[in-house]
Amino acid sequence: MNILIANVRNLESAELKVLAGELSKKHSVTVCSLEGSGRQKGNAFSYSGFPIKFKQISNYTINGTRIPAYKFQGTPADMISIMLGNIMRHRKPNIVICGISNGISLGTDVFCSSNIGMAMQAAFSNVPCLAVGVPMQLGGHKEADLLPAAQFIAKNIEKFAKAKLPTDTFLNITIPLVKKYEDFQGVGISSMDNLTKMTRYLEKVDCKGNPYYWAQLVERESSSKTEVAPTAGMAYFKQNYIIMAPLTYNCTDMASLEQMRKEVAK
Amino acid sequence: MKILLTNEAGCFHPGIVALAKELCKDHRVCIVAPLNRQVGSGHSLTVDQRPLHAQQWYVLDNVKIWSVDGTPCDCVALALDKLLLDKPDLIIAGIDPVNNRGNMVYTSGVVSAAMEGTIQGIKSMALSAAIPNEKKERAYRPVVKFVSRKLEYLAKQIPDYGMLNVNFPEKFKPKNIMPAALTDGLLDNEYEIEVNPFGSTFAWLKSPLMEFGLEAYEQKGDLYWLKQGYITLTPFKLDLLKGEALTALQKAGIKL
Repeated sequence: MNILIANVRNLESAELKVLAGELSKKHSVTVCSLEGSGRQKGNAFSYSGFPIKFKQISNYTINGTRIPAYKFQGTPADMISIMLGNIMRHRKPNIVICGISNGISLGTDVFCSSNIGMAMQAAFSNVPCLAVGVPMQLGGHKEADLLPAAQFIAKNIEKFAKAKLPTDTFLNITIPLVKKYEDFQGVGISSMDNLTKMTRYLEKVDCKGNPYYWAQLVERESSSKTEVAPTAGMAYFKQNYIIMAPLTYNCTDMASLEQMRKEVAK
Repeated sequence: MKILLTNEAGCFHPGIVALAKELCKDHRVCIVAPLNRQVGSGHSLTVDQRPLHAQQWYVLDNVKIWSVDGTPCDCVALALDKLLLDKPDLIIAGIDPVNNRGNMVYTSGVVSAAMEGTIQGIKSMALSAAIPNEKKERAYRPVVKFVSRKLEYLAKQIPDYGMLNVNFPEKFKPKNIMPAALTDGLLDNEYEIEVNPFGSTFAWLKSPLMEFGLEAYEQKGDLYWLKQGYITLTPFKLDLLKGEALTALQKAGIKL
């Protein structure tokens, strides 16, 4: 199978290397990554009218296998758009894997997540697509910690590519960190709505007396109006279950739309 | 009503200024918007690269203007957490001089700012219009008039756990309002590869970004109705889980 792996950290990150290493044993893999940090970029595009710089890395190898690799300066969605719209235009990948992301996207985090932004961009091109995330570790993970997660993806990759999901759908896969593959308890299908982060700010004052604000992500207060019903996903995830959520990019609220149509008809 | 205005084109863009001038006659209005143009910023948040700065400007008489050196979503989050004294009753993002319809809404900073407002628990809507001469304040007059007259109606259309996306065609009659679904069918962007004299490779966008195929018009979604000259209202939800995909996923037999 022809697989594209996209990552937002860099080509040398353990998250990318361990996944590409597992998948390249049986499949033809292409990797691409952004240079520098691309956290919380959502589905942003570089609209400025300037071109986007990228580079093909000629001697990129993983476990002695040479793998086509590209690095980009731009946004996550730019990268996927150029990979699918140009570089891989005539050999479209059978599946795109975004990740492994250092951090998981729960509930409404999916809107600002770079990893989900890339997956959504691939889904626009009707390519089957996975966004894979593990719990965040500041400074990144060690390759050994990510191996079970990569093994799970590699083992099921053909099933993911052939799953007959609706065309406007991509999968958000949240994998717990375990020591060895046998520690996984099972695979569940659920949304993970009950733990959602909100952006709050830490106010500080610089040497001239002007305030500045550092963003921090805090857990949502339960009194919020937009609270959605909690799901079992998180409880299972804490017991080392892998959780898969099929997400759509069509966010039209059909129930409200029908109601509005009725009112307009009146 | 206490209204927070934001946009992606900058805090002094004629679209937002025209709207603020009209709405401040009947409401308490505050602008918190990016200092620089942030078109296409989507739901970007400035989190780990640098801190944000905010500045207050005294340009309009009854409207407080804050500029933030970040994206539209940064503006909404910072305004709600630090800059505003009380929570607003309504967040309006816009007026964007370009329509945000179909799948490209995720790329729009205006729609994403309204989405961020919704996530933070405030009723929010995004306004975008097809304005040919976007630099003139009077070009926005028909849209501004419609919004100020129909503000209560529009606010009532915002779903409980979601936001409202409103699009205005270039020419419209105020009575032609159509609730419409998002249009699917975005075409792949095409790029031309160029190598510069120093040997670096660049990708230039060939076709305009975010184009739809002809068959997209047949879906009778927002794209179709805008072309027919209707004002389209699209309610968005926050929960992207696809219920119909659950059985297909179970059948795929994915296991340890």
